[in-house]
Amino acid sequence: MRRPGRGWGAGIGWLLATAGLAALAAVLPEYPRFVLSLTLVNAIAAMGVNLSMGYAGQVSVGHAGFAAIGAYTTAILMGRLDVSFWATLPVGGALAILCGILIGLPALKLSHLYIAMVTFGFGQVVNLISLNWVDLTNGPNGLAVPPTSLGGYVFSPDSFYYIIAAFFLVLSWIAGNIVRSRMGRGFLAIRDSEVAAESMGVHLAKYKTIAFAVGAFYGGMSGALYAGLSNYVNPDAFIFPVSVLYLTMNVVGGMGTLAGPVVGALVFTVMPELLRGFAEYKEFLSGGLLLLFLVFFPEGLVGMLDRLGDKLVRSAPAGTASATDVA
Amino acid sequence: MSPERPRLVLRDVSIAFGGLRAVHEVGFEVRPGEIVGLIGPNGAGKTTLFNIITRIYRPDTGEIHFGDRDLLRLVRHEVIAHGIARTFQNLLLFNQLTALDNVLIGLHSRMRAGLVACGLQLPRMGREERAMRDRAEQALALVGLAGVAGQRARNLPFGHQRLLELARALASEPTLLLLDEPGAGLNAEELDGLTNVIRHIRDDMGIGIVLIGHTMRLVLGISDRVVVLDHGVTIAEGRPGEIRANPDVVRAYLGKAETHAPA
Repeated sequence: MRRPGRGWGAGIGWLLATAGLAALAAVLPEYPRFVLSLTLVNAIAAMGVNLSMGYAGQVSVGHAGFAAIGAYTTAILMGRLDVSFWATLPVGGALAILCGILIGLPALKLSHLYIAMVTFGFGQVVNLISLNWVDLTNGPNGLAVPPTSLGGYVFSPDSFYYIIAAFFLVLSWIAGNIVRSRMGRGFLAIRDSEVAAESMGVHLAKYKTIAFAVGAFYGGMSGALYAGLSNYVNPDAFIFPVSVLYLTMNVVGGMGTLAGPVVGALVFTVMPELLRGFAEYKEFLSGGLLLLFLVFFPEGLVGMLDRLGDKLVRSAPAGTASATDVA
Repeated sequence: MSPERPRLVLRDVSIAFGGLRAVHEVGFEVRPGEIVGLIGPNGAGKTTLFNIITRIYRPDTGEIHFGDRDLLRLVRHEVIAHGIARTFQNLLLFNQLTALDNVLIGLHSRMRAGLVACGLQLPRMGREERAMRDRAEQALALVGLAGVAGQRARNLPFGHQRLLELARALASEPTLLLLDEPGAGLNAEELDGLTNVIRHIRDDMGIGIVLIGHTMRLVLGISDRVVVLDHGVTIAEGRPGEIRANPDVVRAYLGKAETHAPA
C-alpha cells in the first residue's frame, strides 16, 4: 500500500534524511564523501529520467545532453563571464527546460521507438557541439570551473557536498510532491493508457511536454552541480553511455518508484569504486546487470520490495486496507 | 447539481473504416435521468458510437449535441469536463495504481492544481487534494469498494475492477454516463449489485446513462428505452417490452446470440 506521504510521518522522514546526509558528511573521509557527492548528482539526473520515462512513459536515452547543457552553462558563465555559481543555476535550468520542450514537440506525435531515437539524437548533437564549438566550449580539452563561493566563503570539492545534498533533498521533495499530485497522476495515466488518460481529461500534449521539461530540468541541475563539484567539464562526461547509465540506474533501482533512481545511482556510482581493480570489466558488469534486471526483475530493486509489501497487505485481513489510507 | 441538465442528441451519425460502414446514419437522444440501452450483436457499432461521442473517432457525417454544445467541436480531453464520462469494454484501469488513485485520475478534470502548486505543495493544492480525496472515497463507497481503496487495481478481482471503472467515471460528477458492457464477466450476484448501483445513479443522482450490453437481462431490465443496432444501422428503437416483441430484433440478435430467455 502507498501511504499518502504527507503530514508528520513525511516530515520526520525528511528530517531523518537530512540528518543522515549530514551525519555521513561528518564520518566520511574526503574521497568517499566525493563519491557520495557524485552519487547524489547522478541520482538527480536519474530522477529526471524517472519523471519523464518512469512516470510519464516518455522514453529518454539522451539525458546526458540535458546534463551537458546545465554543466556547460555553469562552466561558461562562471569561467568566461565571471557569473556566480548561483546565478548560473536558473539559466542552465531554463535552457535545459527549453531543450526538453523542443525535444518534446516532435515526440508528441511519435511512438516510443521514435521518441528514443529523437532523444538519442539530441544527446549526440549536444555532445558534438561541445566537442566542436571550440570557441565556446574549448572542445575536447574542456573548461575549468572556478570554485563556488557564498558570502565570502569559498567551497572546496569537500564542502561542496553540502550544496549537492541540499539540492538533492529539495529536488527529491519536489519530485515526490509531483508524483503524488494531480500532475503525477496525469503522468501515470498517460504511461498506462493514453486513451483512458484523455477520457479522464488529461491533456496529452500538455502533460507530455511538462514531463519532458521537468525531466530535462533535473538533468540540467545535475549537470550544473557536477560542474561545481568537479571544477571541470569536458565532453567525455556527457557521452551516450552516460545517458544509458542513467537509464540503467532506473531499471536496476526501480523505474517509476521514487527511491528507485536513488538506489540505482548508489549502486552504479559506488560499485565502480569498489571494483577499481576490475575497471576494464565495468561496462560488462553494468550491461550484465541491466540485462539481468530487464529480463528477470523488470520492476527493479525498489519495485521488488513494493511487491513484497503488496503481498503482505493482501495476506492481511480485509478491511485494514482503507483505515490507513485515509489521511 | 445544475438545474438545467443537458440532453445528448445524435443525428445521422455515420463513420466508415476503409470500406466498412461501422455506423450508418444513427440518431438517438438521451434525456437526463434516463437509461438508454444500446444493444446489438458483435460488430454492430456500439462501442464505435461511444468512441465517436467521446471524440476518439471523428464521424464522417452527422451531428452530436450535448445541450446547446456541439460535441464535435471539442477535443478528446475536454469531453469529460463538459459532463460526459465513460467506462471501457476492455477495462482500461491504471493497474499499478491504487483504487483510490484510479478514481482520483477520474477527478482530473475537476482539479486545477498546476505544476508549481503540485511541485511545491502549495496550500491551495493541499486543500484541493483533500477535498478530491473525499469525493473519490465517496465514489468508491457508492459502488461498494470503500474497503479496497488502498489496493492496487491489478490486485482486485475482476468484478471489483469493473466497479472501479464505474467509480472512476462517476467521481467526476458527470451528467451523462457512457457504460460499455459494465456487466460483462460478472457473476449473478455481482450483476445484481451493479444493477442496483446503476438504478441509484439514474433515480437519485439524475444522471443520463447510455448502457451497452451483451447481457440482455441487464439492459432490458433497467433501460427506459432501447436502441438496437445491427451492422451499424438502427434496426429498432423503443421500450424494452417493444424490443422483446420486435421480430427484426429477435431475428438479428436475440434468436441467435442469446440462448436463455431475456428476463
